[in-house]
Formats: sequence, C-alpha cells, structure tokens
Amino acid sequence: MSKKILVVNDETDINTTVRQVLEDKGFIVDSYEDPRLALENFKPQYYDLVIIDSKMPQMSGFVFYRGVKALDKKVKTCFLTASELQSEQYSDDIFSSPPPSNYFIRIPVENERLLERIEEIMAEVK
Amino acid sequence: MLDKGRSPLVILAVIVGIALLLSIFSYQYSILTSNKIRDIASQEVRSNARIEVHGLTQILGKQLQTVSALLQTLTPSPLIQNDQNQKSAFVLFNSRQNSTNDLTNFYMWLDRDGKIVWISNMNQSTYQKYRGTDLSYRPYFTVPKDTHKAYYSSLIDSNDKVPRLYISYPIINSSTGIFKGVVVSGINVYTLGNLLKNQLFPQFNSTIGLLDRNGIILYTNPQQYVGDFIFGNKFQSLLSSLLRPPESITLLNNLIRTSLQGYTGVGDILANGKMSTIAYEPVLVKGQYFLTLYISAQHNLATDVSALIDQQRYFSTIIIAIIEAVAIIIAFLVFSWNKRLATVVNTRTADLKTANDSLALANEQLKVHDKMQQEFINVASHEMKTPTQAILGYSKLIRRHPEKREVMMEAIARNASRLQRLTNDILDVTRIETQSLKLNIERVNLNELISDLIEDYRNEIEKTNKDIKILHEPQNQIIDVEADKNRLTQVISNLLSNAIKFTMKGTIRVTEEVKDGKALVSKEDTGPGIDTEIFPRLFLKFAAKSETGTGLGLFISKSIVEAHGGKIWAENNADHDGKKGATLTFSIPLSKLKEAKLRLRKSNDE
Repeated sequence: MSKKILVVNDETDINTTVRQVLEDKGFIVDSYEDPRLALENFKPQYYDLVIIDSKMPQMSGFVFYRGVKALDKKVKTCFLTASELQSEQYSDDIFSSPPPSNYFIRIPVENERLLERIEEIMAEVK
Repeated sequence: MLDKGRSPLVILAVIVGIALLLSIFSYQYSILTSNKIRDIASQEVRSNARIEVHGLTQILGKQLQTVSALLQTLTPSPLIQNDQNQKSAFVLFNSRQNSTNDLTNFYMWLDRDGKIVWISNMNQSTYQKYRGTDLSYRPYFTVPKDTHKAYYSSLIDSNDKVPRLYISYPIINSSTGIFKGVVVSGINVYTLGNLLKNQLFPQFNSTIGLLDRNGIILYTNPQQYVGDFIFGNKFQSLLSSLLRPPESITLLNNLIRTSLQGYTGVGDILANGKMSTIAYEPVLVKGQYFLTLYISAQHNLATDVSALIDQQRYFSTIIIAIIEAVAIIIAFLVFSWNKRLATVVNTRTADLKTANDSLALANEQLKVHDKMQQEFINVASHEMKTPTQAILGYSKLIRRHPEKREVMMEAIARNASRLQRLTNDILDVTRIETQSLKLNIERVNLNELISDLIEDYRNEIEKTNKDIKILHEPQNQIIDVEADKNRLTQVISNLLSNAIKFTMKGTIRVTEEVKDGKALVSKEDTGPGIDTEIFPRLFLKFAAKSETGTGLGLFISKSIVEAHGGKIWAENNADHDGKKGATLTFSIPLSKLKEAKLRLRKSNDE
C-alpha cells in the first residue's frame, strides 16, 4: 500500500517540485501552501510522514508541528529548512528534548538525496 | 554630598568655639595668676614693712633706753645728790651728751625749784645766760617731782623753738627720800628722724612716720608738719588733698587711732590708685609706751608685676587670636581644597560614567547589530536557498515530465530573477555602505514613470489571486524631476511591491504633487500597517517583518532618495472604516522650474 505524505510549504515552487518528486516515486501526497488550511484539513492516523517548511509567514513550522502532534501523536515529521540555524534556535521553545538532527533536511537538496532522506526517516523505527 | 557640604561649617564652628573657650580660659587663668602674684608681692611688701618697722622700733627703743639708763645713772651720783655745783659734776653731763650726741641735744640738771643748774657742753656765756632759768612749769619737771618716777614727754616746743622729746628722772636723796631736782635729756625730733632714716634699708622703697602717744607728728616727710596734731585741720587737709578716694583717709585715720593705743599692726591703704602698706609698732622704753613708728611702703613690685602680667595677658590673648585666625584660614583652605577635589572627582566620575554609558550604548548597538546581522544571514540564506532549491528541483523534473516543460521553464526563470533581485539588493547595500552608489542624473517625467510602473504592477497583481486595486489619478501638471531614472524606478517599485506583499485585499493609492519646490510621491495602502516594533527602525538594514524579504528594500530606497537630496518617511494611517494601512512618502528635487513651466504651457497649447 502506498505511503501517504503531507507537504506544507508556503513557497509554491518548492511545494510543486517536492510533490512531483514524491508522486513520481509512488507516494500519495497532499500539499498545502497555507499551514492553517493544512491543520484544518489534517487527517489523524492517515499520514506516514509530514514534511514541514520551518519558516512560513502565516505560522512558524514549529508551531505547526505542535498542532500536528496534538492531533496525531504518532505521525512522523521532518522539517525542510533554508535557515542556517534551526534546531538550536527553536529546540528550547518547541521540543522537550532536542530533535535528532536528521529531522532537518536542509535545502537546496538534490531530488534524489531528498528522497533518500525521506525514506530513511520513514524507515526509522520509533 | 549634602553632608559633605554641611560638615565644613560645623568644623569651622567647632574650631572657633574651641578657640573662644581657650581664650576665655587663658584670660581667666592669667587673671588668676596675676592676682596670685600680686598677692604674693603684696604679702612680701607687708612682711618687709613689718620687719622694717620692728627693726627700727627695736633700734629706737634701744637708743632711748640707753638715754634713759644714762639719765638714771646720774641721779645716785654724790656730786648731784649733794648739789655740788662744780665742774666735776658738769663733766658727768658733758660726757653723757658726748656718748649719745647722735640722738640727744643735751643733758640738763634742774634744781628742786625747777631752775637750770647745768646744760651739757655750755660755754661760759651761755651758762651765764641760761643759769637759773625757771623751767618748773614743764611737765618733764612737774611729773617726776610729783611721782618720783621717770617721765617720757610728749612733743614739746622748747624755748629755742626746737621741737623736742624729753626723758627726765627725779633726783631723790637716797637716805632721806627728799626730791632734789631732775635730770633731763632733750632729744631733737629732727635728729631722731634722721637717725631713723639712716637706719632704713636703702633698697626698701618706704617712708617713715613717727608719732608720739598723743598723736603729735614727730617725724614726717615733709618736715613742716612736725609738731602738728595728726587729726588736726592742717594735716587732715593735706591728706584730703593728697589721698583719693576719701575712704582711704578714713581708713588711714582708723589705722592711726588703733596704733595710738599701743598696738602693733599693718594695714593697706589705696592712695591715688596705688596700694601702700603701712606697718606700725609702738616704741617702748622700760616697758612704757612712748612713741609709735610707722613705715609706709608702696606696692611698686606688685604694681610692676601686675603690669607685666597684664601685658602677658594681652600678648597671650593676641597669640590665641592669631592661632585661631590661622586655624580658621587653614581649615578654610583645607575645605576649599577638599571641595575643589570633590568637584574634580565628581567631574571625573561623571566623565567616566558618560564614557561607561556610551560604551554600554555602543555595546548594546553592537549586540543589536549582531542580532540584525544574524537575522540577515537567516533571511538571506532563506532567500537564496529557496529559489535555488526550486531551480534545482525543476531542472531535474523537466526531463521526466516533458509535458510540463513550459510551466517548469517559466518557474525556473522566475526563481532565477528572484535570485538576481537579491543579488542586486546585496550589491546595492554594499555600494551604499562603501559610498560608491553612483547616480546617473537626468530629467525624468515623474507622471509617466509612475503610470508605466503601475501598469506593470497591475499585470503582476492579476497573476496573484489578490483583490487589490491600484488607484492613480492622472495629473494636469507635468512634474519633471532631476533623478537617476533606474534608481527612482527602484524606489517606487519597492514601495509598490511592499504594498502588494502586505495587502491581502484593498486599494493602493499613489499620488504625486509639487510642494515647497519639491516633488512628493505618496503611496497609501489598506494593508495591516507598519508593525510598531519595526516602525522605529523601518529604514534601517534588515528591518523585515515579512517571511520572504531581506529587509533591505526600504534601506536601499532611503539611501537612493537621500542621495538625490530628498527625504523619505512613513506614517500609519488613522483607522477609518476598519481600514488601517500605511502611507510612505518621499520627496525628490524638481527639475529647473522655468523649464517645467514652459513645458506646462506647451502642453496646454497642444
């Protein structure tokens, strides 16, 4: 059965390319540019992975992360980030303990490498 | 500081107080000392006077005793007992006179009827003259005749007008006890006085007085009062002319009255401001009160000492005053020095504080700058990496999806321009900061420029789903400005794209006008307005509120406007009809007015 991934990114082009790369690999992808809409339409116990843009104008990726975790405690997540400093900057506010660094996928990243990282994260046993 | 200001006065007051106490104490102490010294000196004068008067009294008593003894030894002589009026008897008298001639004038023999038999050392002629002279009325005859005892006279003026004292002894027949006459010795009071004077200790500054027991003056200086009654008018009027105050006369008279009762004593009399001690002692001859001797001594030493002490007192008072003045001056100097020091310290402290504050401020600014730098790196990296990622993603996908080739190519181009814009912005900032921003000034028709730009942005808005209208009313007046056309375009574009970015729905109104010799361009939107946190540093670097922006746009715009000699400012609109929004305005110099007017006329003519 195909794995389902939710992509949330305010940048249309990032959204489009990531979605296309994942769909080409056979994933079922939902994508949103507005994290508020994404939360409204979030389906608990449905997604295998949620890929979150760390920096969005409507809502920070980390706030969105908490929203998602409140709805679906077990869902796997990772961040797509263009910032230089992410985990250090936000860990105290958002996470009780620092998240594993491989939760952060730094862009720019080649499509193949992006897929590898995503598959790694999904393969990890919690 | 208040305490410091008050304490010098307190300390000065304490110094003055101590000095005052010291001067009072010193003054009192020197008065005490001077009184004590004066007392000691006076005591010395008194005891000296007593010693002198006692010594003189003893001498005088002894002399008179001798005279008395010589007289007494005459009476049992057979020559005299038997009335042998012959030379051998007279020799007895002569020899006695010779032995006491420093005191006695003569020794005299009176017969039982009081007539002169012999006076010592008479020559033939005087013998003839005085022999048989009747002196039977004189007390020196009558008293021994009646009492058969020795007689010591009071002062008597003799027949030769010389005042004398007399000592007489009766001649009593040793077997029958019959009175046979008297032997008399006459003592000239002047001689007596001189004798006393010679006996006085020469360095003892004193005068002598001698009274007989009835108060008759026997010796005094001046001698003209000899023979006068001491309480008589003549002497008393002399006293009242000499002695001040009158109480001193009363005191002196009382002293004399006491002395005339045969007492020994001493008393102080104040005469014309000078203290004198009068010591007195009776002269006794064979136990009988005969005369009273007085010695008066001035308290010169005491007065001198007193003057010296007064001088010392004034001197020490002056010294204390000088010390006090010096202490006050020193205290004053110390305080003013202290004050100056305090002022210097305060100034330095203030300087240090200012330096500290400015350092702290600089540090704070550095921190802010650091934070902004960090923010810029975050933003810039996001701004660079996002389009890079898009380009990277599309360029790989384009091969896999030839059917989406057009769309993807366009997306790649869009992201490439986004990267280019960012690159330009960063380059502009570098130019601004290195002051190498160059303007290519030319005449620019502002109306046209704005109209064209608005047209472009209207097309841009159509591509988004936003419901935004750009309002721009065409002007009658042609506004020409002196500007770099590309840079001016950059400023207006920045204002418009900001407005479009932050406005979800509403209107953007753009106006241009001429005011105070400058062109003003305003952009008013109905967006959320400028964040109050951002507002103070709106035109500074990295002041960004959007999630997709470097925060460089307005900084670059401001620098461009200012490079043209204009100004740029922002206001948040008053909240009306639930629409807030912000207005940004900038000014830019007009092209030369004359030409502008010409062109205006030309266009009207057309």
